[in-house]
Amino acid sequence: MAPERRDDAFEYNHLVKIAAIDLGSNSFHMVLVETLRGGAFRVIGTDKEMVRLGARTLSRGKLPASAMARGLETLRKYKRLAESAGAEKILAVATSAIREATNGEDFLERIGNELEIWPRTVAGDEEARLIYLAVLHSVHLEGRRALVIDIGGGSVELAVGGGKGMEYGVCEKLGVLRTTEEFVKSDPLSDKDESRLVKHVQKTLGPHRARLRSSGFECAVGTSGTILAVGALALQRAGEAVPEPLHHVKVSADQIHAARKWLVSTDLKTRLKTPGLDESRADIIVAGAVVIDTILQELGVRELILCQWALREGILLDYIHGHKRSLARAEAYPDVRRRSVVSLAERSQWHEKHARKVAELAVALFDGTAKRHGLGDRERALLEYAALLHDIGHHIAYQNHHKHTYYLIKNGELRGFTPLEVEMVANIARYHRRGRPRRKHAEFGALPRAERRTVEVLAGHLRLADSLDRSHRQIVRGLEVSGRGDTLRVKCDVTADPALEIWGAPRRAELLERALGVRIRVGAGEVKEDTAMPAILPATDDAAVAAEALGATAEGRRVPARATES
Amino acid sequence: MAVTKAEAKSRKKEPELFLNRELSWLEFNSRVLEEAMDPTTPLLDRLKFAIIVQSNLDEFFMVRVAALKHAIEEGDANPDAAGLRPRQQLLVVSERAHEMVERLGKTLTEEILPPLTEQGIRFVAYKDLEEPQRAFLGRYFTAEVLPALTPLAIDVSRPFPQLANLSLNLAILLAPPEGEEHPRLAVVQVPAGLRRLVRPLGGDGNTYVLLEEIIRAEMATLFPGQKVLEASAFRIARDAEMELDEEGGRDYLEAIEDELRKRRLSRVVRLEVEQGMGDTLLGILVQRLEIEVADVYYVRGPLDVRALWPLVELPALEQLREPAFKPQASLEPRELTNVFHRISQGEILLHHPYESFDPVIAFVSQAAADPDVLAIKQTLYRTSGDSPVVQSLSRAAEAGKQVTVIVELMARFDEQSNIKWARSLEQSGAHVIYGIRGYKVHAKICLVVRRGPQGIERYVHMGTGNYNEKTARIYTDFGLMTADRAIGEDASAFFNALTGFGDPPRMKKLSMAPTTLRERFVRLIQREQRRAEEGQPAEIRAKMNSLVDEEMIRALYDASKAGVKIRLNVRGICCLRPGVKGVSETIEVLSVVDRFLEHSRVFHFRNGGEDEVYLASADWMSRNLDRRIELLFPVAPENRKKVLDVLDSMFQDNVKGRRLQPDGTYRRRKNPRGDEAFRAQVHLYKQTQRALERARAGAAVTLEPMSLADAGVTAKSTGNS
Amino acid sequence: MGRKNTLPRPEQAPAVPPPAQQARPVAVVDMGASAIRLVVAEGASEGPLHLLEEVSRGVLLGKDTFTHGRLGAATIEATLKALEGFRRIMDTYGVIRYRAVATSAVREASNADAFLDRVRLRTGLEVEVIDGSEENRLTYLAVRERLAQHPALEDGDAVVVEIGGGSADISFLRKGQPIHSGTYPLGSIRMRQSLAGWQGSHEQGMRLLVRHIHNVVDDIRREMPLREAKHVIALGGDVRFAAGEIVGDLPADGLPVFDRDAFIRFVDSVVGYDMEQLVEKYRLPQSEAETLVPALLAYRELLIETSADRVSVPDASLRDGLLLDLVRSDQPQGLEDLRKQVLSSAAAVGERYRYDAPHARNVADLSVRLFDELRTEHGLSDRHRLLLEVAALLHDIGNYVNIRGHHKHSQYLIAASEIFGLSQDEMHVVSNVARYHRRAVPSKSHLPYMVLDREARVATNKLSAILRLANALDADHLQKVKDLHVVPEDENWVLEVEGAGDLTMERLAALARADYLTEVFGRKLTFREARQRPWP
Repeated sequence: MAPERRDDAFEYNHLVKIAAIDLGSNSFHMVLVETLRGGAFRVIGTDKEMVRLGARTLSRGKLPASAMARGLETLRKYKRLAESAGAEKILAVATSAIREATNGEDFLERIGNELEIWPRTVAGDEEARLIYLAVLHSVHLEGRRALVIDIGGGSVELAVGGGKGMEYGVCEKLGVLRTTEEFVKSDPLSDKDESRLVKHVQKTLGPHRARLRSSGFECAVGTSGTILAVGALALQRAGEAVPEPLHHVKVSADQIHAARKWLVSTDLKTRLKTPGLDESRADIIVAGAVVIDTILQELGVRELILCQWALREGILLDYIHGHKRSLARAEAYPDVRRRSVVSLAERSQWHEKHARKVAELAVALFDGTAKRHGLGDRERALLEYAALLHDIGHHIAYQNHHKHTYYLIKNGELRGFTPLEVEMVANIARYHRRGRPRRKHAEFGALPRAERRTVEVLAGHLRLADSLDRSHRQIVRGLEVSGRGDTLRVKCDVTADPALEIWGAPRRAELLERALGVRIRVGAGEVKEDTAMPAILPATDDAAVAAEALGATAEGRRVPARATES
Repeated sequence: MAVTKAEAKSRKKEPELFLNRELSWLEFNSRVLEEAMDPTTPLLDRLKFAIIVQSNLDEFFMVRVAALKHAIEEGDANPDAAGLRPRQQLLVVSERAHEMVERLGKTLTEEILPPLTEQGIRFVAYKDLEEPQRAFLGRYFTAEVLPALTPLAIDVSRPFPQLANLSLNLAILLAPPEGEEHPRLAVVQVPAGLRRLVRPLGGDGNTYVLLEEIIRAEMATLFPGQKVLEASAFRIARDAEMELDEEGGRDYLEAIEDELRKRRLSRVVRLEVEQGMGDTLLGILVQRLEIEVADVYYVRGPLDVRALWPLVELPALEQLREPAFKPQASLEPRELTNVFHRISQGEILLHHPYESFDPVIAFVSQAAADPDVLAIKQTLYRTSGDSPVVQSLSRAAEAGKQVTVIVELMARFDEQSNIKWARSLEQSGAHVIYGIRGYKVHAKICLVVRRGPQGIERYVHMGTGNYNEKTARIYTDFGLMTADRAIGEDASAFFNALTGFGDPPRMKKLSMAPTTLRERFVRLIQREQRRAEEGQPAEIRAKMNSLVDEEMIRALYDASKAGVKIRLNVRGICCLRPGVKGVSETIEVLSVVDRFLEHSRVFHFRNGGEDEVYLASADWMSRNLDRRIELLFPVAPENRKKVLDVLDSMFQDNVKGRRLQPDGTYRRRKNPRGDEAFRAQVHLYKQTQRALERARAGAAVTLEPMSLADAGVTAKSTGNS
Repeated sequence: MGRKNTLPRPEQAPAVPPPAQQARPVAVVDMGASAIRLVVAEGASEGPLHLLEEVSRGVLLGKDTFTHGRLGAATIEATLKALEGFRRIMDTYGVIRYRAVATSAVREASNADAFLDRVRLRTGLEVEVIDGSEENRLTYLAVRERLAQHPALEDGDAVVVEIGGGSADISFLRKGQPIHSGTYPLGSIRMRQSLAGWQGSHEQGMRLLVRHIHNVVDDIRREMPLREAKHVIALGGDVRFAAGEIVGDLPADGLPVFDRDAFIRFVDSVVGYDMEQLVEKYRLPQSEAETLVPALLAYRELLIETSADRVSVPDASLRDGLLLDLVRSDQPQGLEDLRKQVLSSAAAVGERYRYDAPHARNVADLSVRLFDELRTEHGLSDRHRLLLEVAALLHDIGNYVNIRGHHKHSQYLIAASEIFGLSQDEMHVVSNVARYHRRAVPSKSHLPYMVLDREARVATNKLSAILRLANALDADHLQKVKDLHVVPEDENWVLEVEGAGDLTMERLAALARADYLTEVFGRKLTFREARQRPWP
């Protein structure tokens, strides 16, 4: 391993911090991110103020001074936060409420003059495009065409597209504040009001229905606070766990419908008392529920994937993409999951060579034992991700690094995975080192039965694979699995004497043996290079050389230092 | 670095380079005999030396000869360094021994006893006594002697009685009764409990009759109605199963399984008989004692002259003795009252017996009394319970000080008495350790830990001789008292190791056997060798009791080959062969045998002009270097000269000094260039006297106001006043 | 900082108590993997220490623990015997103050408690089991003492390495200040044990060893910038032996130094020998021969990683550190030094997780200001002040894992980190204090909080109450509050803050976060922007 690689393990490469502010008519959001090598980014801070800008606007068409003052104060605070966090760029975007207000431009002027923030107002379909972009980068679409629904305070955005981006976007004035003000005259909501609202929504969507239905989306994604709130409530009502974070979680249309029915039937007091229901939304969520439920029915959506990213993330990605940073990565990792796995690994200064080799060997083993475990592509992928991440815990501390690995994976904002999948990846990695998974281990015990077995099998693969690169020198090039009956033979294709690897293997194979109920014999094939026993440790002035010298010949002749590096 | 086992093995034996140990010992004893034969030696001193020769021989037979016989039984294997197998050794040994016994008897009967008679010290034969004296002795016999006698008639069928080792007996040949033709044998042991020198009443002051004479005269009463054909004295020596020890003690061999021990115990290794004993009688004895004729020694004059010791100590008759040498007080009385203070001002080196042993006694007793002393740790090698040192130690223990004593008990015989005082030490609170398994603690060291105003102080006494005020008057030894920090720490570490509190330490100034001493000696020798090879003048001078260890001897040879000048002063056994071409040309070996037993071990290395002088408790014998706990300690510069002067005179001695010849014999040094006679011990004594006088004169009277403490007044008594 | 024990006056008490002005000798006992050692010394807090006794007794505690996980009866008995001896020696000098510590060999033995109890009963010695970071701290003390004014501590970076029987203790010093230290699985006895079952050739065994070492070194490298180290300070018996063989007799200054290549050559020669040859050639006791090679290989691999071309082997040991600690630690200087070391190490952890340094520092300052203002109220020690300061520095590092619930992540990361000079227990307090810097307050339902002992919990409550307030005072990360005072007014407290510009945000935040302070100290808190105080 070359010295320079080692040293950069310590110096952190310089990363850009960017703040994105979304001036919604209902609330102002700021998200503070740090761009990662290759154009992904990670959130390092978020904030949200319910400024209710549009509270009265939308009927009067004029922003009240008080609202503008609140807005300015909030933005001033955001600016301070962003700057003290070292943000180099503050992106701001103003949406419907401001767009429509007669004095909207004046407000934006003031913001510009007082805070030197120049929000750009995004036109309806532009807003939809940005939201779609965000979804594309945070939801595991597996190449499916997607319908994205976002319910803002003033407007609703609908976008349809594929892996490349949005193809067709709609923006209609169906935002929760607007609809609440217009239609919610009673509490609990009267049937009269409800049906008026439903009709309004159907009427507004009318012109787009055919086009949207025929756009051929294979899945639907819901963003925006309103939809997440409704979704959470729906799951809760349906008696399902409400995972945190509430990302990449599926909610069925029926569950949402049920939630709507309940919301419509309750009065504000009850809603305020309902746990898990954000009181600042207690009033407007009713309209929100009706709108989304109606939309789903109108467009025949059965199931909605919740997504935390929305406009402001879209803005960021747009900005970043605009700056051509992430294109490289996006091409390298068209798959959002792999992308976020790799960026988590990099953030944790992984042993890239080792990790990739282990992943490679683990997957090879997995394929070789396919008949025994009968697991499929989904598990195969989880195994690979777990392998790539298995050592990142080192970044926290050497001792118990397997547990730290678990912790980082669990909490490290992996994108494109369901909470359960994250939990599995984390567990597989956690057991790469020692001990066998036990139900009394809280994290493992919490998994459903089937997943427990899967994790044990996959961890078994990972553990053996890891031991096959014990020297971290990628001596084992590849492997073949053969044998029938109760014995598996793993034959390693090696580039040097794999003493350490082979020595460690039997013990490290036990977990897999147990999981598959077989005996495993690990052996090495012909060494490809000249690797007779070396003269012990020839004097040397370089660790790499010293390590490589182990592959030298009895006459002490050394294999070129970087032989296995290249 | 010392040689590894492998290297040692690879070495070829070179017997011609070594002298046989037993013969060398006999040589030593004959040097003592020479002192007895030396007309210039005062009469009573001659007698003393004669007696020493006798008792030395006794031990030699019981130990070395017995060992040889044992080795022969074992198969007569393993030749010694000189290449002699046991049987060969035994042959030469007994030949020399016979000569020596012959010479001893001759000297005694012809040169010592007659002149004593002139001095009025007479031995009278029973027949020469007047009637009244006989009458008196007769009464004495019936009253005192007879009850103590047990005549044993011995017939062929019964086993020969177990006669006590070294006991004096009469063998009696009784005429055969009616109908038998073989005379019968009886044995009477001369009671050991009674004085052998008997003063017949009326005889003038120093007339004596030997006890066995009286018994012989009264034979008839012992065997009434039987005809006594002959009654002759004899004496046997048995295998005593012990190791010789130049300090008069006896080390019993460990780990001899009982079977073997019984066999050895019963074996007689020597039979001494009176000149007059008839062949019949002798024949029976030889046969019944299962010995060979070679083991029979005819003795002229009385058997076992040790019995004559009382004469040596006869009062008056000073003209028949060397003038007494009174040990000099090398410390001012004032200094003696506060030894520690004196030591803290500078290391004290004492040379006994020229200088008095009192400071050492004071060292321990003051430590016991001093309230600031926290601990006393000491080794005691064969000390008797009544020694003041032991008493101080138990006082210290009772005073609550931490007292640690490592005792090396004496031979089995008097073990009981030892155990007693050791136990009482324990009862007074001392931590007593009865030796170290597998090693004899031979080092002589006493450590005192004291709390001084500047913190902890350590005072150490180390010596080449035992803490025994009696031998300190007749053995020459060095004693060193110091407050040196490093030595103090080493001493602590030494005791920690012996008490098992710690592992044997790396020492700063001292070296300890069996861990580092041998290596240290070898390194010191090799250092001189290197200097010689670099062409620097190199010299080694060493004084010791015995030089036996092969590795040390070889180291000396190697040094000699490199041209190192080596002068050895070895009183006793020396297996090194000096003056061998290309091996030991530069080596000279001297032995001084004089009135004081030369006992100090001194080692001097020239070290390119930065002389180093060491003292030690160890000789260069494998026993000392491998199987004993010993100490080597350096002498500080201020005292170096004193030691070097002693060495100088030891090598200068041309009266009592004898040089070892390449053939293993010793010759008195006929003084070359006819310079006047120089006798080291006398010179040293005079010199000590002069030195001290000078010192006293030099120290013009100084008036020094005393503090309360100096005056020995305690706080309490002032409080009352 | 470990406790200092005192012995009951031994029944074999010294005849008289020492003169008052003069300090009694003190003692330290160190129970290592292959020997237990005693040092008795005297000396004032100033000036050099004078060693009175240095006793060592070979006891293979490590062999038992690292092989069977527990101490065997024979070993225990041998240890007790030796300790009884030590106790006697201590009594000789009337030692009353002492500190006895045990390291990994005991720490990791399953029957450690039973063992230490027997030690107490048999010898009256209270033995304290210390963890790696405390070992590192003590050793560092010794090194700093030995190498005062030595370039290795004056300029540039240095690594301090000690390969012990159970593990390797490594500290990274920047200008003499430890910025990182850790304990790694390079214990010589352990490595030897790992080879126990090895059937293959000697050479191959050695190669396995080297590879294992190499992996670990790789990971160490990720925790500290070995490459930047210009000096290597090696401690431990094995390397001291090597030094003796390489440089021969001690130089005048008593500090053996040899250059890297000489060392590497020596190691290569030694590695060639098997156990018997080592014992024969160097006259080593078996136990030392066993550990020599693994240890030297570890030193070698580490040395190679650095850019040092020479290695210094000061005669500094855990014992010396214990001794200095015992004699000096109550000195203000000692405390200040410790604080510096701890903080620089904490800062290194902060860097590692890219903390917002100005904010962290500001919150730390405000925290200790509050702590000092409230001294009479909380009655906590300077040690707690230090823990608070560290917690304040690191309260936000959880952001590194995830902004969401970062206070919990902070707790996790801190608990998992090693900070030079703080014990594991103390780190747990720190991690809890940090965890409560926002949102929830300590609660019986929080496991990590409940595992603390009562005393620690109380401290945690008080410290986190302070931290919450301090953090609020820099809510917007602009470090506007420069200083503060707590002025009691009747039953309540007035928080007077001095700062630059508009402190509205701070006031609101502070009042919002003062709730817990009020709960803990039972005082209401009002907020006041300090007018210019009459005195500077």
